[in-house]
Amino acid sequence: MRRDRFVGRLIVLTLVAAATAAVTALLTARRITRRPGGGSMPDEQHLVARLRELDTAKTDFMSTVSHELRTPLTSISGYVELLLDGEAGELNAEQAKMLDVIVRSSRRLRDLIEEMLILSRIESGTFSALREPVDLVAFVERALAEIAPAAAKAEVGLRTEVRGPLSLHADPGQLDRVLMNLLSNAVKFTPAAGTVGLLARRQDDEIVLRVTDTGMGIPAGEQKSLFTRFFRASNAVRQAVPGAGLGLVIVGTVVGNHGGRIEVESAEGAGTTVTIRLPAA
Amino acid sequence: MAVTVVLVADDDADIRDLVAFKLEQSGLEVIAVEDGQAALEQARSRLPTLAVLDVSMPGLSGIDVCRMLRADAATAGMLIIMLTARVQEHDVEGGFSAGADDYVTKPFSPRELVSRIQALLSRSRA
Repeated sequence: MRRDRFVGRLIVLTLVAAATAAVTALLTARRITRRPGGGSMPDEQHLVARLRELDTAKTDFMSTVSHELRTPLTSISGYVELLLDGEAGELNAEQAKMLDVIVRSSRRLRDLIEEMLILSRIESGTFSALREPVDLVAFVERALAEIAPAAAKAEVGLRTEVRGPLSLHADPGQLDRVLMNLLSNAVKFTPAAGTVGLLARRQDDEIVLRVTDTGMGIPAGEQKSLFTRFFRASNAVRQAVPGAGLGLVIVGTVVGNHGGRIEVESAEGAGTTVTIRLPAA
Repeated sequence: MAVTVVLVADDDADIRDLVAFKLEQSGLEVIAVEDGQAALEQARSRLPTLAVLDVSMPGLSGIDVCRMLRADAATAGMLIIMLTARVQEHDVEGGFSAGADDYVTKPFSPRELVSRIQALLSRSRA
């Protein structure tokens, strides 16, 4: 677990280093443009061109990093799957348990890499959404089935209230990501014996999706920063809850791209409620 | 029934071995190569039923090989699955426009790769 977090931090640090390099280059460019006696127009054009270049370089860098991480991850998760399937001989219970830890950790890394890639697409303006007629009910059921084992393991109860049909035009992959992100956050931040609730229903011409939890909550002063990349609430950091601070940035962007709104109500120690409203079909 | 021959091309030896091992366990005969040029030569001389091609290989990429196989009457009907670590839309479109039958992104589950291969094989037999 600790090493997994270390790798996550390493990736974040690499990104921060790249961003710092970009900012330094930008400041240098600015200093050059402020040189006395220099004509301002060509310098501004130069600055714009340089910024575009840096932006492209950053996006390419993120995309290359995630590509280079995916290849070794394929070997790790692929060979572990062979071992777990007993293709290299029978495993004893202890060995299977250890391999499960590798499976879990590589899944976390895979999710992090995917989030980084999505973030780079959001920033380069190439993160576009498909529009297909979908019924949210099926998505909710699938997401609940997927989160159920993690909730059971954390001894967190799941309570759901879904009133279909919930038709809308949306990108199915992105909708899945939003649901899974909200549910896994809720489970992750809720201690044992707590409850995570999911409500989905139509209200006038909107689909309302609400995820509530009885978890650690978000300090009032920090709630406005929730949709800032790499932001993590101070209580989450203090309690060493893993995460990179990218999930909600992606959720916010997806909801915005779908013409929806997102609201967060929370009190530290008393839980969090996230409400998403999307235009119904 | 004759054994189905599958060509596997990936410049990463670990992934090549992983795919080859899993496919052999699933009863397929595997020809494993490490670059696009060798993939093209083996595809032309051995005429496998299906080829699993990594997109980014030195020299000829998987997409180049795919396009060349489609352009040659002798290999035009070969089933082709692309493997890639790049998941940007234009990469996927590039693969499909080159004529690939399916696309699998890394990291993938070997089990899932086998079921995609079997799905393609049974569709082409039907």
